Amino acid sequence: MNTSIPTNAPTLSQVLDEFALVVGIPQAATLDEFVRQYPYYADELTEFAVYLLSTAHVDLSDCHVAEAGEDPSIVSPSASKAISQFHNALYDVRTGVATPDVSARPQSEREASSMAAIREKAIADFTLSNRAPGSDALETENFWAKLPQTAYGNAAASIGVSKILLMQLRDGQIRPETVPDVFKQKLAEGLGVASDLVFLFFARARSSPRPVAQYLKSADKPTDVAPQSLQEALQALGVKEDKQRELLQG
Amino acid sequence: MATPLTRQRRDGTLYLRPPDVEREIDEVSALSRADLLAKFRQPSASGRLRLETLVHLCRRAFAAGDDELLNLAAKRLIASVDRCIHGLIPPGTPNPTYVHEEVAGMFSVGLAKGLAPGSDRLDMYEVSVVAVLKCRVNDVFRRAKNPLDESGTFSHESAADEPDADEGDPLAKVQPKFPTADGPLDLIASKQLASAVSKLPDPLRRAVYLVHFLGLKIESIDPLERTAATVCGVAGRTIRNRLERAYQQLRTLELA
Repeated sequence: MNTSIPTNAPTLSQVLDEFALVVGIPQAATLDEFVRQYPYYADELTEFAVYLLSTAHVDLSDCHVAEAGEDPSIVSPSASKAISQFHNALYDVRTGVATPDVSARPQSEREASSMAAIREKAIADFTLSNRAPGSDALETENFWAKLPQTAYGNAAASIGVSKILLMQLRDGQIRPETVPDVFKQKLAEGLGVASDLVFLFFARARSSPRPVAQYLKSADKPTDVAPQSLQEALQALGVKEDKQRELLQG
Repeated sequence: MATPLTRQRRDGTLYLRPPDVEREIDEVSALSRADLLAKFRQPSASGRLRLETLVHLCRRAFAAGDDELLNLAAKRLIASVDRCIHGLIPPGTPNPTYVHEEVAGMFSVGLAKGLAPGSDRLDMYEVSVVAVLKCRVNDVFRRAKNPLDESGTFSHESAADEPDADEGDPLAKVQPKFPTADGPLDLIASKQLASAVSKLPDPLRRAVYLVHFLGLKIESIDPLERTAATVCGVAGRTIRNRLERAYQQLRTLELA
């Protein structure tokens, strides 16, 4: 039964951090003191106290040190994943991208809305100023999904290729490293989308290849189709050699 | 000499590293860079480093642009933290692997974000890494209980509650059998008792902690008073039943 939170109140995380540092193993008097000071976090403090009590008997003496002689090359899968998350977050710190803070997830609706606002702002900031090929900080906007029905036909006519080629590009059936910048630029102009979105799409496709598409309506069993190069795709679609040169070399 | 921490507590005092951490940071600071790197690289190197010291080294390496040292210190720190986490997840927690991975990830992301210039987030890490980990475990529990939680993969409070039969007033006959004290019990004073209570099923354990260790009433006629019943969201008689079952289980361990 929390009371309303004053506007100048510390965040819940700040209070719980301090509680953890101050009390170690909580006792009734300490909990009472914190609850009197922060009555609006009474329930959260009590829950935290219960949790701290549940670990009070655990011997954590080995948790305070890291053995210098441990083999640094051996880490568990969960540690390996955490190290990877560390490097991703460090990259964001270095590039100035504000990622949502996972250690301060919302507790109240008020906090939730402010967290959502921070998240939206981070995404907006990224979209406006920090969008860069190869960045893995945020998901690339799927511009293909937002294209109107006529866009494929218009782009195909503008570039001078078949609509099938555009679908192959969309579905990851063409190796992104074989698509030259000049073609990406033509594609962006033909589709009427920002060129950096197209560049980012191919950059991400390169770093995390999509699973091979399966055609479930086929009469045959689905088979893996290895992605082909753009040149191979153009040849397979019967594009003339001089047109291929124009598309691939500008 | 380690740089003083700058983060303030709510009472305005600064965060302070424990003296042994402070001492170890001073010792490490006196090493040459080559000796420091060797300490991480050579499996035969002797000595141990406190986790808080590793946090300090990460900060120092980042500020100096020393990526090599940063990577080595962060890797050692995260790997050590990962080994600690299992001890911080209470027995009986559903999906402990999920909790473990979440906590490790939150710690690692917090470590990286704390390296940002001007951030004082890592001051707490330099005071007590274990306290940080306990906060992160608690964060995972809070998220799981929060309706805004998206994962739905974890539930701390057991939904399958026990029968709510009211068998008179069991408290009167069972409470005297529990170790009595004037006021709430001191868990530190009895490691044996703490260990036994920790083995109880979650609802029983919570009832014992709330009533006997944190000093909450079982229930109250005042609807605004915080009691074990209001904290658990159940009726007072349910708390009494839980306590009775807890006493019975503790008696079998010859502790009550």
